[in-house]
Amino acid sequence: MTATERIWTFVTCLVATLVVVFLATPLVVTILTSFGSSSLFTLPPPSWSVRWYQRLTSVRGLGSTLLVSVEIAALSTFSSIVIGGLASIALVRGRFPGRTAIGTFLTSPLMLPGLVIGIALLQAFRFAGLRDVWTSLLLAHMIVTLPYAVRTIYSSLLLFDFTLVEAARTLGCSPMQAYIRVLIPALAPAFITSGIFAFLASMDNYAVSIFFTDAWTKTLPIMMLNLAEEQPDPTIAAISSLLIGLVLIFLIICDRAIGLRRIVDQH
Amino acid sequence: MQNSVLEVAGAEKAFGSTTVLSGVDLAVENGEFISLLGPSGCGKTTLLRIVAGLLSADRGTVKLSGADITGLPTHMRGVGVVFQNYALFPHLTVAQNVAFGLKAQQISAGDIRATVAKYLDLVQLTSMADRPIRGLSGGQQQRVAVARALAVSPKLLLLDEPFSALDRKLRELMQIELKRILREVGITTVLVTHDQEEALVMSDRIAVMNKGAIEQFAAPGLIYQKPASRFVLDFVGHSTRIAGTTAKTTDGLLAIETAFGTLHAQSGYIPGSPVTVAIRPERISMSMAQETPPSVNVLSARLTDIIFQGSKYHLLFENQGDSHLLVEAGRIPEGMAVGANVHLHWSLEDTLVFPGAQE
Ligand SMILES: Nc1ncnc2c1ncn2[C@@H]1O[C@H](COP(=O)(O)OP(=O)(O)O)[C@@H](O)[C@H]1O
Ligand SMILES: [Mg+2]
Repeated sequence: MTATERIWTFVTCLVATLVVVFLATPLVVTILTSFGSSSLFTLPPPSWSVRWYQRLTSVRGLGSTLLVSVEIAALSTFSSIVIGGLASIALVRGRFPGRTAIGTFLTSPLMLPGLVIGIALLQAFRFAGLRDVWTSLLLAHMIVTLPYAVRTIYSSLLLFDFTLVEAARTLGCSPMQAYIRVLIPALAPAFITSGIFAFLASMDNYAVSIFFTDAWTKTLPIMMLNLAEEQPDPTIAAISSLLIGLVLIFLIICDRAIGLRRIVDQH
Repeated sequence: MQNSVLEVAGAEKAFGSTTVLSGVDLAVENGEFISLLGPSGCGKTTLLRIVAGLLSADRGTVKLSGADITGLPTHMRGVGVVFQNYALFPHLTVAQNVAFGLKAQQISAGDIRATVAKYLDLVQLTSMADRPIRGLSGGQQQRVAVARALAVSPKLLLLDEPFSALDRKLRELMQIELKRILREVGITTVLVTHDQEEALVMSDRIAVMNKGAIEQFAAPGLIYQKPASRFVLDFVGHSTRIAGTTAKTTDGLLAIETAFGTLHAQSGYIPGSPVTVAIRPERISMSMAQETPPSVNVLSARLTDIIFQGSKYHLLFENQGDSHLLVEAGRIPEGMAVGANVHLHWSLEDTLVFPGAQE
C-alpha cells in the first residue's frame, strides 16, 4: 500500500465510523432512556429499572392501537404483494403501450411527500363518500406499501426465466398451476424482502395516517405523538425500544433472504 | 398417412409483418427420429412451439396420433419438450425435477418414486438424485431434462438444439447416448438443430428448412446424395460446382456446356438455360493416365493445392484460371503433385444439376 492509499483507507474508515455513530446514537439514547428510573430524559439515568415497560400495560388504548397498526400493516402488505406481483407480471411480460409509464406511476408514492398523498387521498375519499376510518387507513396504506412490492418483485421478475413456466406446462400443469409451482418459489426471496419493507413502512407511517385517524381508531405512531404531547415521560422510549427490536429481527430475516439470493445469483 | 404420430398441415405463422412459417407440412411416423435442420432464424423453434402448443399458428392444423390438437392447451397435449437451455427448476433437486410432471397427475407417492428411479436409471443419474440442479455439468443437466420430459410418458418428444450448450467432444458422446436412450424408450422424436452433422448422425429422416418452409424431407443419405434444391446442396456437406449452359438432350442425356468442356446429366432443361452442375467432392475420381475411364463425365484440370485434413485430403483444381474445383480423397494417387494435369471423372448419378449459373 502506498502512503496515499493508506491515507484514503483511513479517511474512508473515519467517515464510515462517524456516519454509523451519527445514525446509531439516537437509537442507543432511546434504549438507554427507556431503562432509566427517572421520569425525565436524563442521561446517564440515576438508576436502571423496567418501570416504563411495566407502565405500558396501563397506557389506555395501547393494545387496540397496536392491533389496528398490525392489522393495517399486515393486510396492506399482503394486498400490495398480490397486486404488485400481478402488476409486475403484466409489466414484464406484457406488450402494451405505456408500460414504463405505468411502472413509474406505481412506484411514484415512494417519491411523493406523505403529506401530499395524505391530502390527496383525504379529498378523494371524501369525494367518493368513504367515511370509515379503518377502511380509509387500509386503502391509504396500500398506496404507501405498493411501491415496495412493485419495485422488488419487478426486478426479480426481470431475472426470471419464463421458459420454466413453459416447461411446467409441457409437464402437465395448467397455466395457473405452472405459475404457482414455479414462479412463486422463485420469487419467494422477493416476497419476503418486499413484504418486510412494506410492513415496516406501514407500521412506521405517520404522514399519511394522520389524515385518517380519529379518537378511537389510530395507529401506533399517531398514538406515540399524542403520548409525547400529553405526558412526556420514557414510556414512548419503551415503545420505541420495542419497535427497534422488532425492526432488528426483521432486518436479520431480510438479510438472510437477500444474502441467500446473492449466493444464488452468483452461480 | 395412417400411423403418423405427428401431422402438421399448412402451418403458417407471422410475427407482425415478418412471415416466419409459410405453409409447413410435416408427418412423422410412429417411433421415428426426425430432425428439423436449418440455419438459425429459419423458424425451427417456432414450429416446435406450435407443435407443443406454446404458440398458436395463424393457419394450419396439428394432429397427434390422428387427433386434431390444434386448439388444445399445452398441458393436455402429451408432448414432451427438452428446451434449448434445459429449463430445469433451480429450486428443486434432480429427482424432484424428474418427479415434477408426475406430481401434476393423480399418481401415488410410491408410483412416483418408482417412475423417477426408473428414468434416473435410464439416464444413469441415480447417484445424483438428491443433488441440486446448480453444480451439475451441461451433460448431466441435459440428461435430467430428458428424464423429466420422458417421465410423464409423452406421445412425442421435441428437442430444441439440445447439444448447443455442450462442447464438441461431449456433444458427440451425448448424441450417441441420447440416441441409445430414445431408442430404448421407443418414443417418436423431433430434433431441432442447425448442425448438419448432428442431423445426419441421429436421424431416420431430415427435414431441411429454409426461410419458414421445408425444402426436402428425406433420409439422411438421400438428402446428401440427391439434394432437392440448391439450398439443401449448400447447407448439407461440401460440393464442387461448375457453371454452365444447357444444350440439346439426346437419349435422355442432357448436355451442358461449361468452361471445362461438355458434361452430361440425367436431367430435363430447355436448351440455353443457365445451370450449375454440382458433384459431392468425394464422388470424383482422379487419374494421371491418358486413357478415358468408363465414367461419363471427364474433364482435365491442373492441381493447384493439396490441403491435409487429418483423415482426408482436399485437392483444389483449376482450368484456365478462374474456376476452382474441390476433390476429396482418402489418399493422394501415386505421382500426383501440385502443377500436374489430372483427369477428373464421375458417374451420371453423381451429377446434380440446379437452375441458375451462380456458384
Ligand atoms: N415472439 C417473437 N416475436 C417476434 N419475432 C419472433 C418471435 N419469435 C421468433 N421470432 C422471429 O422469428 C424468426 C424465426 O425464429 P425461430 O423459430 O426461433 O428460428 P430458429 O429456431 O430456426 O433459429 C426469427 O427471425 C425470430 O427473430
Ligand atoms: Mg431456435
